[in-house]
Amino acid sequence: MAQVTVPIGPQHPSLKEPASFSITLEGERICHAGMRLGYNHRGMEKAAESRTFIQNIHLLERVCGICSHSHSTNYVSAVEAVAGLKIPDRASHIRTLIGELERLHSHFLWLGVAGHEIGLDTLLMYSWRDREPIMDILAMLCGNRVNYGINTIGGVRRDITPEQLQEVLKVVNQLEERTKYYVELALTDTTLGQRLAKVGHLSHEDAVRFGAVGPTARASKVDRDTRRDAPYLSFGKIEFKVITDDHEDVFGRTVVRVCELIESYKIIRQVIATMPDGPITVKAPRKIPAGEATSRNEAPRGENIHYVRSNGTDKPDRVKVRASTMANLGSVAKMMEANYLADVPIIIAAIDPCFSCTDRAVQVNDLSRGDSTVMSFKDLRKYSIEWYRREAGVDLGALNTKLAKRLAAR
Amino acid sequence: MSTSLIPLAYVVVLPGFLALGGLAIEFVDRKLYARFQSRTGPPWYQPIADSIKLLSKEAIVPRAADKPMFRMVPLVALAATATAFFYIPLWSTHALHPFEGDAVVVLYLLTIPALCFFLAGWFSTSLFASYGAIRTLTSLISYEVPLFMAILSPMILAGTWSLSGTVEFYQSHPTWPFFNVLGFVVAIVALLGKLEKAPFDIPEAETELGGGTFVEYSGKLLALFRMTIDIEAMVVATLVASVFMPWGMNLHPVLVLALHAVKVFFIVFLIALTRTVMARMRIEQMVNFCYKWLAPAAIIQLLITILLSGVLK
Amino acid sequence: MPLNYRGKILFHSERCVGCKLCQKDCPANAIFINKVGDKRFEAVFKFDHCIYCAQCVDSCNKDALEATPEFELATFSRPNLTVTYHAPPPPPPPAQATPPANVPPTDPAKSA
Repeated sequence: MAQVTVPIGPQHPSLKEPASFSITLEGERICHAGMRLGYNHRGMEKAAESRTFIQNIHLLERVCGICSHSHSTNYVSAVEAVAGLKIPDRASHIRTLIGELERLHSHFLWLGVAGHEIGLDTLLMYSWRDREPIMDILAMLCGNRVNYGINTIGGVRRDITPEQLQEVLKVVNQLEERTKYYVELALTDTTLGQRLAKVGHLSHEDAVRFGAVGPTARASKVDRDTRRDAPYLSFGKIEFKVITDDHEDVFGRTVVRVCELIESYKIIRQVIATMPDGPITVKAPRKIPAGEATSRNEAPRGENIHYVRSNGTDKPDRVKVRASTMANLGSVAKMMEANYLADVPIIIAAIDPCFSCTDRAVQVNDLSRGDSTVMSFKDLRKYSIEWYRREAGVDLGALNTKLAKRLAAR
Repeated sequence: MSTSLIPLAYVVVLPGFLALGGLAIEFVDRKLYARFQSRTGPPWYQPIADSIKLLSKEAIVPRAADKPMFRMVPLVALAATATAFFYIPLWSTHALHPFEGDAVVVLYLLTIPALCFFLAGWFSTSLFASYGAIRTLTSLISYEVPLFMAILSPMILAGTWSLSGTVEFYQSHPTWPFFNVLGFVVAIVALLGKLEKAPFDIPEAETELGGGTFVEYSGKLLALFRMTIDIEAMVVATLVASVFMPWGMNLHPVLVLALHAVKVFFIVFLIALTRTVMARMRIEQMVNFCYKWLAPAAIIQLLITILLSGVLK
Repeated sequence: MPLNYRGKILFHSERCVGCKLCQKDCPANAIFINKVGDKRFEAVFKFDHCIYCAQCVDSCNKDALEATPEFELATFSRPNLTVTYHAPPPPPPPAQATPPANVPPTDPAKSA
């Protein structure tokens, strides 16, 4: 049978964010999947170099909308490590609480997206309806439903009153009832099981080889969770289980995420019960002393790594973000083998892709050539002008000089 | 004078009634679907507002597409579906032009829209449209066989191939439709395939193909296709109601119409309920299901009616 | 609407001392403090640039900025979103020490 290449993306109803997958099909079976990224690159790492450390908190929070608090916490932890600050216990507990609330809302969002990709819109409507109380208490605690802005260098910006903590407990109790319904649904529903089981298979060896993280890896029996392996914030003092599953397919990832919801409720209850009194921030200097630090935490999608290097001024020298989807994407092409075209959306959705998190600058080492090329901004600009002149017949070099002249004349 | 006005009334009134019925069915289906999902749902004028909006937009025809065929396919689909309605008894046991064998004609006319959906995707020459077209044909060969067998088995009991004759027969045997319950279940499930509703909405899988067969259609051509689907829902629901629930068809016409609305509402309720709770199946899962479970159930129903028609007569 | 919602920012000009920490810390360069007189400052806000993070509110040591829950800020014309919070009115000049000149001195012979 002839091979057809179907482009899924960059614009596609099943993708929430742009990425280009070219799927080569024989009939309805996939024989090869190729991937191109970079459609969501915004130059955030470069932008972070021309803003002060405090301005960068808000910039890096907007790397992603769903895991925004984990990016913000990670960056602030790295800066605090460079500056040698130790945040008070109450601030650490508040950050942990908001982080777990974010995990809740992200997993409910994922449930809905997975339901939509397989055609069960009812699951989408139900799980997003259950997500609304979480957004409401996050708005009550932090002031906004997404991009919470609760972190500052040295602690948190807002304190939590005991009445607000009671509200949080009420919502958590209510949601635990609903989550039991979702667990039962995931385990027993027939059409859901038919669409999710045996789809997107990733064996244990492949998961380790491709470096998968988060629920994607934990569903292939890879026992890794940054909250337990490298405890950060208040996780050293909290008891919780790391959920792994041995189904190694999309069904396993669903089970892992739904069970992680239940673990998060336990963590939130422990955090609220052991919330210490005290200050919520320590004074942080505006000029961070020179040094570098790496910080990692467990975003809802997996391990999130931030690196910050400072050179003694009030602007960072280099900020590097390695989000979890970057690690998981390598396994997507492997997961798509021997599946049907109809499974492509759910396989992509199963790693919970966040291409906004992913598109940062990456240095690719071409092993066949034995070296890697690094282009500076000037080289990149020259290369792009040449490319457009050659491929599209458009001379952007002249346009650029005209623009520069106009701006200088103003 | 009055005898020559009646056919005129049929020609003038019936198509409008059909369209309004189709729009009402779409509204009820969408409203029930939304209510099951704890949403509010669209207001009563949503389907007609959608049609008016689509009619006012430009219909873009792809450059590589076959223009005359691209434009003609929606009209053929609409015409075939509307014509099938003339042979189904609506307000009495007597349809507009009944004749022996009109059930088979109705079923064949109802296959034409599915073929037109295939041709629509084929003539669009777009990649996603071709995939949608192939899936339409594959699902057609899966649900057609059980649907035909299910619809025809009550007629074997009635001993006639005419829909009006079947309805007439069951007026004098009001308890006999209960022998056809299995056929009713098979017909409802096969209906989901014909009307492209979940779990069988594979041809227009929005998240996989972004529109399926209709991806290149827009403007008034898409409005015609949507009208075809609505009217097809009305026609098929009326067909199933008259074959499997033929009670009270020899009362006053207004009462029969009211009863007909109740029966159609019941069928649409079942369809909306199934649409809410089931995920979309893959195409090979659908073929598997239809040939492993649906077709044998239809065969069993056929055997039941053949045996009963011999025993009870 | 939760009470702590970060909406439009309000400026209390009488408390501002002109340290411009809010201007330095704004991630979006949406606030500008201008001096209009002796210890009097006005704030120019660009609400189309503002990301409503309330970092300015936290950076101010004098509580001159406050986040209100007002969020319905959409308008038909972009210049409407550049809002100036004016400085407080200048204090009145101090009272004169000498009496006014056009009051005739009282004649002790006429009274009594």
